[in-house]
Parts: sequence; C-alpha cells; structure tokens
Amino acid sequence: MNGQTMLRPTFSTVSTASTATPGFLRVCGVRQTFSTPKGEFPALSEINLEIRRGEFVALIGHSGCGKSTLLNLLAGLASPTAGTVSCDGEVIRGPGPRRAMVFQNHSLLPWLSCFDNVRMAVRSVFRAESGSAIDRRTEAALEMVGLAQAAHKKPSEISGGMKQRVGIARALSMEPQVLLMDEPFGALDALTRAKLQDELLGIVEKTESTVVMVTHDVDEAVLLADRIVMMTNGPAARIGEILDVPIGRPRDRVSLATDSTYAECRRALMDFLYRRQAHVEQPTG
Amino acid sequence: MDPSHEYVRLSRTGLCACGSTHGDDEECLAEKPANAGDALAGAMAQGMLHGLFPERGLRRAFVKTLGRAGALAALTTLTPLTQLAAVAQERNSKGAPEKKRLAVGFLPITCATPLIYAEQLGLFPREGLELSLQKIAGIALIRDKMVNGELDISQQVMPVALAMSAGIGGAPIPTRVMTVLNQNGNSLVLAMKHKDNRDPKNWKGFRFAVPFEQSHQMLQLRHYLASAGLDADRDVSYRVVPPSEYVSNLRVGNIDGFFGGEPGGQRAVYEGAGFIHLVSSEIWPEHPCCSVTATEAWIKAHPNSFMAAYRAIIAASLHVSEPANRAGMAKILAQPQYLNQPETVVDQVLTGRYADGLGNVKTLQRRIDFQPFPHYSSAVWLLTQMRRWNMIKEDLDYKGLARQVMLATDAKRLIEERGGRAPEVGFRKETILGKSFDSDRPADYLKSLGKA
Amino acid sequence: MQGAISTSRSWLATLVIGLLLLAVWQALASSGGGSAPAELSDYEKLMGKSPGVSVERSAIPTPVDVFKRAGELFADPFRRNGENDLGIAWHLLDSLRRVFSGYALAVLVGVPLGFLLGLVPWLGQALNPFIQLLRPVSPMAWMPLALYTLKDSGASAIFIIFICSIWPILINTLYSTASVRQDWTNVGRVIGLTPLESARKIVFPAAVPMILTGMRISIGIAWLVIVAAEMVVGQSGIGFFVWNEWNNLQISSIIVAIVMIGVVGLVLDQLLGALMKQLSFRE
Repeated sequence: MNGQTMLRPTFSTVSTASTATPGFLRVCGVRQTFSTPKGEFPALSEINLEIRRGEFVALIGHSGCGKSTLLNLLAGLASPTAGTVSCDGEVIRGPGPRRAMVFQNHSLLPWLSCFDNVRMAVRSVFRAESGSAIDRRTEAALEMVGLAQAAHKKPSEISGGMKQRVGIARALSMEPQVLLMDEPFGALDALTRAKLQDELLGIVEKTESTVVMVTHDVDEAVLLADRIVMMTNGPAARIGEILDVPIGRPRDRVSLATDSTYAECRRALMDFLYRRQAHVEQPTG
Repeated sequence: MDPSHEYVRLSRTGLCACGSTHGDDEECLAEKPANAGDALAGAMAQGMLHGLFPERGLRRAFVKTLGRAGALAALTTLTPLTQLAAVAQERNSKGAPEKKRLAVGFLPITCATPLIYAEQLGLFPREGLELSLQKIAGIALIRDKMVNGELDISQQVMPVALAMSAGIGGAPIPTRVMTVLNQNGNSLVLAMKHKDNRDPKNWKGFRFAVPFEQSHQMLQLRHYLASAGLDADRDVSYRVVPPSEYVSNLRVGNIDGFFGGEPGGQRAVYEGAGFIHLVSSEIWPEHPCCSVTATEAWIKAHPNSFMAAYRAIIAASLHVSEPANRAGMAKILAQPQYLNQPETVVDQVLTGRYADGLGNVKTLQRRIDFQPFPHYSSAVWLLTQMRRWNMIKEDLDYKGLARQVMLATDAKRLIEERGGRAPEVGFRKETILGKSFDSDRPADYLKSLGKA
Repeated sequence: MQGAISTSRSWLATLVIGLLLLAVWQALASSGGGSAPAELSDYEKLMGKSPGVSVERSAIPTPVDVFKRAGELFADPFRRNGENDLGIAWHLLDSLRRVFSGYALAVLVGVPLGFLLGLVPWLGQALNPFIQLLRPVSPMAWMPLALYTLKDSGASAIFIIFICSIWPILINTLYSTASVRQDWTNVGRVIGLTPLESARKIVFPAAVPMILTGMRISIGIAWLVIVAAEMVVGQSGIGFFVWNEWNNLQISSIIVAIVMIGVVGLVLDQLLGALMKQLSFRE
C-alpha cells in the first residue's frame, strides 16, 4: 500500500529517460519569444523535455511562467522561435486531432448541442466512416464522461462542470495520441473539480492516454500526475525541476489524504513554488 | 412640295424623274419609279453616278455590269441615300408608327394643358398611337428621362432644348422644339411683407426663387432687375426651388419672392403667403413658357411616330386655345392625377380674373394662352440673354441654332392642315419691357439697354 | 402578477399621453378669429374663404382633418384611374417591392463580400478606405449618377436602396467574421478542419447574430431611402405620393403618409427582430 512504503520522490532538472526508448513527446532546445509593440518578450528560454507514451505529466508554475505557451507549442497552435517539438518522431508543424486539446474555457460552440459539438470533431477525424458509425463514436465518448442524457442540450443549458466534460469527451472522441489539457478544471468549484479529477483518473486508466496537463493546483498535480514539471517564473522561464510521483495506480483520493509519499510530494512542490520560486508579480509586458 | 406630284408631272413631259432627258440607249436609275420614294432615291443615285463617272461610257459599263438594282445598292452604301430619302419623305409621311406606345412626360403646371387635353380627348389613338402620359417631379428629372430614353417626348421649359442642343453645361444633345405649349402663364410674386416695397430699385439683397437655372424665368427676372438699375449678378441672389416649395419658402422667409409658372403664383396668393407683383406678360407679352420637345436621335429613329404625335399635339393645342373650350377646363386640370390643385386657383389662371393678394380683383385677358407655333425670334432673345449673363461662354450662331431647334416649318404646315392659322416662318420683332428686339441686331439691342 | 399590472399600466399611460397630445395639437392648429360676414366679396371668394367662417388659413391641419383625410385615402385604397391616379395601397406595394429588391441585393452582395473580407484581413484592410469613403454618401447624391448610367428610374431607385443599405450589412459581417473568438477557431484547427470547413462550420455560424443586427439596421435605412428616392424619381410609391400631396400643400395627406411609413418601418424592423431571436444563441 502506498501509505507504508515511503517512496522518496526523486528530483531531476533534466528528463530522466531511464529507459532507452526515445521520448514519445520531445521538446528539444525550444525557445519562444513574442514580438510585442513594446519590444521582444522572451516567454520561454531553453526547454528540454521528454515525455513517455502513456505518461501523465503535469506542468505547474505561477502565472506568467509560460506553461500555457509550452502547451500550445505541444499542441502545434504555435511554432517555437528556436528548437523543435516532435511527437512520435515527427516534428509538429500544426495542430491536429492527434494532439487533442481541452481548453480552459471549454470552447464549446454555443449554437450546437453537446452531441453536435462532439460529433463535429468525430466527423472531422473519421471522414471515411458512415454517419451512423460517427454517431456511435459520439455516443460512446459522451457515455465515457457520463453525459449521455444531456447530449441534446445546448452548452448554455448545462453547468460549467458538464461543459468541461463535453470538452473532454470531444477531445477523447478523436482517439488522440496525446491529450493536452490547459487548466481544465480551473473555472470550477472545488467539489465539481474533485469529481472531474476522479473521472479523469478513471478515463486515463481505461484509455491509457498520454496526458500533459497545465495546472496551478498542487493537490491536483500530485493526485493525477506521474511526473510534475515545475517551471520557473517568467520571463524567460525554464524548467526548474521535475518531480517523480511514485504513487501507484489506481489512486484513491481518500486514502491518499493520509499517505506520506503524497504529503512529501506536496511539500516538495510547495517548497519550490512558494519558497524557492516565490512569485514576484511581474508587470504584464 | 410633294415629291410624288413633281415627278409624275415631269415624266409626262418627257423629262426623267432625275430632271434631265436621256438618250434612247441610256438607262437612268431614276427611270420609272415605283413611288415617290423610289423617284427620289433614284434621282439622288443618278446624280451621284454622274459625279463619280463623268464619262458616259464608264457610267453605262457600271450600270450594265451591276444591273440597275445592284448599281442602286452600291451607290446607296456609299452615302446614306435611303436615310436622306427617308428624311425628305418623312415630312409628308403617313406611314405606320414605328413605336405605338409613347411615353410623354409632363410637369404638373398649367403649361401642360395641351398635353393633358391630348389625353382627355383621345387624340393619340386617333393617330394610331397609345399615350402614356407621365407626371414627372422636376425639370432636371424630365430632361434626364428624355435623354436616357425613358420618355419619348416631353414638356420642357424654354430655353432648355436650345441649351441642350448647343451643349451648354454638358455634351451637346440635339433636341427639337415641336410646339410651344403656352404663352405667358408666369408671375413675379413677392412675400406679403414687401407689399409696400414694390419698386425694384429697392430690392438690393433680395433672394429670389426660380424653377431652373437655364429657364426663361431666370432670364426675364434678371432682365427686369437689370432694367431697374440693379446689378443682376451681385445685388440679388437666386435659388433653384421646385414649385411645390414656393409657398413654404415664402412663408418661412427663406425667399423674398419667386418668378415661376402658374398655378404656383396664384396658389401663393391663395395661401396668403404672397402677392402678385406682376405677371410675365407685363415684361414680355406673348413670351413662350414651356415647349414640347424630343431628341433629334429619337425623331430620326421614329419618323412616323413623331409625325403622328406631332399631329395629335398640334390638334390638342388648337383645341385648348379656342376661348370657347375654356369652360370646364379648370375642373379637369385640377384633378389629383394632373395638377392636383384647388379648382379655383386653376380657374383664376385660365380665366384671367384673379385675386392679386393685395385685396384687388384683377382681370387680364391673356393671362395664359396655348398657341403652338414656335417663333425663332423668341429663341434668339433667350439665347442672347444667356450670353449676356455668361451662361453661354462664347458667341454662337443664334439664328442658325434657333432655325435648327425650333421646328417652325413643320408646325406651320401641321397647323394649317388642321385649319388653323400660323404666322410666316421668319424672325419677327419681340418687345420686352417696351423695347424692341431685332434678331439680326442683338448687339444693338444690348447697347440700347445700357450694357456693352 | 406584478409584471402584468405594470405593463397594462404603462399601456394606459401611453394611451392617455397620446390623447393629450392630440388634444393639444387640435387646439393649436385651429386658431380661430372672428367670423366673416355671410356675404363674401368677390375677392374673398377668389381667396377661397367660406361664408360665416373666418379662419386664418393655417399651415398645420388639425387631427380631425388628418383623420378625415385618412378616411378618404383608405376608402378606396386600390383605385386605379390611369397611371397618374393610384390608390394608396398600390403606392405602398410599389415602395415595398422596390425596397425588397434593393435590400435583397444588398444582402446577397454584402454578406458574402463581408465574409470574404473578414476572412482575408489584408484584403479587408485594403478595401476599408473605399468603404469608409462611400458609406456616408447621401442617397440624393447617388441619384444623378444612377440615372445617368442606368438610364432607368426604376432600376435607379433600386440601386440607390442597394448602395445605401449595404454598408451596415457589409461592415457587420466583416467585423464579426474578423473578430470571431480565437478559442473557437482553435477548436477548428485542433479537430482538423480545413480552413474552408472552419469558415463554413465555425466562423459563419458564429458571425450570424451580428450579421442579423446589420441586416436589421439596413432594413430601416432601406425604408428611409426609398421614400427619399421616390420623391424625385418615382412615378409611384409612397415617396412619390408624399411629393404629389406636397405639391398641393395637402399636409394632412403627408401626415397620414408619415404615420403609414412609420408603421411599415416598425413592422419590417420587428420582422427582422423575430428572425434574430430565432437564430441567436446564448453563450
């Protein structure tokens, strides 16, 4: 049981590719600079990261530390100023359904029902399939997030939590290689957040997805992730430290509450965030 | 001169239709014409042939090779002989109209009476035409609609047809005045506040409304003011205002007076907005006001329709100029689809017995008349006045333009055909403010007014 | 219950205010003087005075006059006494016909063009100066140009409506297309839609509410312009009717026409409002 054996969390500043397998998701020498009217703004400086297939990686840091920027690079929604980002050996040149994104603001199209929102994604990915096959895929995705009942409703008619679930369903329905999540539960209340985190755990276990999640919530990171990438403060943020979370799966929230490994991880994170990388509010560029 | 009569007569005397005698072995293209048109075309062709081949042998060879019809055709393609023949023919033609349904535009003023009566009396169907009489909202608009072809024939204020033909203010569009719609029928109205200020010498700073920039109203007004000693350019200002707005502008004080066509003047009196200072016949007796116009291009394209319409309009004008026919005229004209005015206002214009706005009932025999004959001399006076005020930038052949635009010869013939009386075609003397105007000596006239 | 009471109370207030305004109007417009002698002089007869009544001919008719005139006009609305004497219903139908033609043209050109310019920003920016230049041009200024080139007053009237009412549609479509939420377009990119598919499935539906707003503004403009255009160009139509009555200083007719114009304008606006409600979405 997790509580008894105190596994020490291990730190590293570089990715710990302990196996010889090359990283599924690789970020090599990436730098990202934005041109603003007030001059050049360096968001990220020198990021190197490798993520294995099936891993759950959390990106954590204070606001302005470039974690969303990094996620966008992984999604292909932006191109790095220097360096490469590759997935499964191929350099990422643009966004696509194989790196599905769940947005912080759910980004559901308000004129479509939940069903149609998911269906649009499915249809776009599985173009050769028949209408009924696509419908079935859509239903399955919604089932997975437990929203089969509300499928016909419009986004304005459902709660924030349900909307986020639809977003997850949409992402998963595309059978992506990677699931990218940008603070997906940030806008939700604590109870809903907890519920969705649990559901996510279940889904991820079932689908064996590779997940990269941006969060600012320490508990969420430790609960969900295999590894936590801690970013330094911006500008010119880099990876500060990477923390392994040696807690076995399936993870149970209630029992983890008293788990010492869990507590140790939390402490390590907090130390990084609140002592060593105490956040100094930066004036926005 | 009826061509057909001429040629038949000649052939009996041994002369060929072309006007000369020929030898036995010479064919003439004008020989044995089937009709007057053929005779004319043949004669012209023969004349051309003589011009092209002075040597008789060549002529014979030409005609022999091509045959008579071929020779005629060849010569016709060199010059528009058929067109020329047609033009000569048209003056006498009673052929089927090219276009049956004619769109005729009118302005809702008493000048339009002949056109309105043409519709009332069914005079167009009598000539094999259909009349679509259309009320048009303004002078510029009625001009534009005729130019762009929406109207076939239209009412137009003098001297716009002359200005258009001379190309003043735009590209020249040859236009013809078929008849004059009316004489007189205009008045100079002042706002009630000026009822004690009737000497034009004191009108410095007045603002006058006129119906159109290039209108006889503008020219008569300027002449009147200048004759009173004012500088017509600098001492007063002018505004182009449509008749419907005369009354409201007077009431509000936007204008001090207007010179416009009836029933605008009488209506202003009726509404208590102004008084009639003078009627236009006090300036220029028997002056033309509006005309019936058509573009030269339209006439060329529809010679038969043109003549048929011409006859109908002349008949209408003659009808409404009969004093006996004035009874009941006001009632018809006042209707909403025509002038749309109170009947008594129209009646006062037609009968000449009217309220002048100052408490007097006046009687004027010829407050408005509808004689159709277009006088060259009135055109010349108007043109020289336009030159005087620099609306025309350089001297023109005024008499030539008048002869070209005013179809006096045709009008005279048609009037007489219907049993009316028309004056001789020529340049008569015009009398304006008591001074005589001779079309041959416009410069002397201007000098006599005290202007260079 | 509370809501129902306050609504009916406000309706009652509207009615009372309306009646009060009419009464004031009636009082002001019928400025009376003494009475004239029963026998009129010639002059007075010619000036149109009626025996026994001396009323200063007022420029403004009373509400009673207006109602009377409305009665006359609506007694025979479909009259057809030759080309120049039509019942008021025909005038209204003619105006509506012209408005719809011009407006339909404005929608058919404005929406696709605005959409294109919104999707291709540099194109939109390149054409923007021309749009800004042409937008404030008054319909009266377009009139001579239209008549001169189109050579037909009916076509000119339709063109004038088109050129004046296209701008809100064009500009709103352009703006809503260009400023569609990036979140939504990102969704399109992530799920793998082609740019064309994204335009069709995401950008256009997102822009629809604002396009409809533009269309609603435009129908108001189209209706405004037709009346002005017909005053000068038309042979028929409510604008021509107004001009014709103005010629005869029939202010009552003009007031009736104004009310009719207002009512029709309101109906058209409401129609588009209903359409907007149907096609809008809440976020």
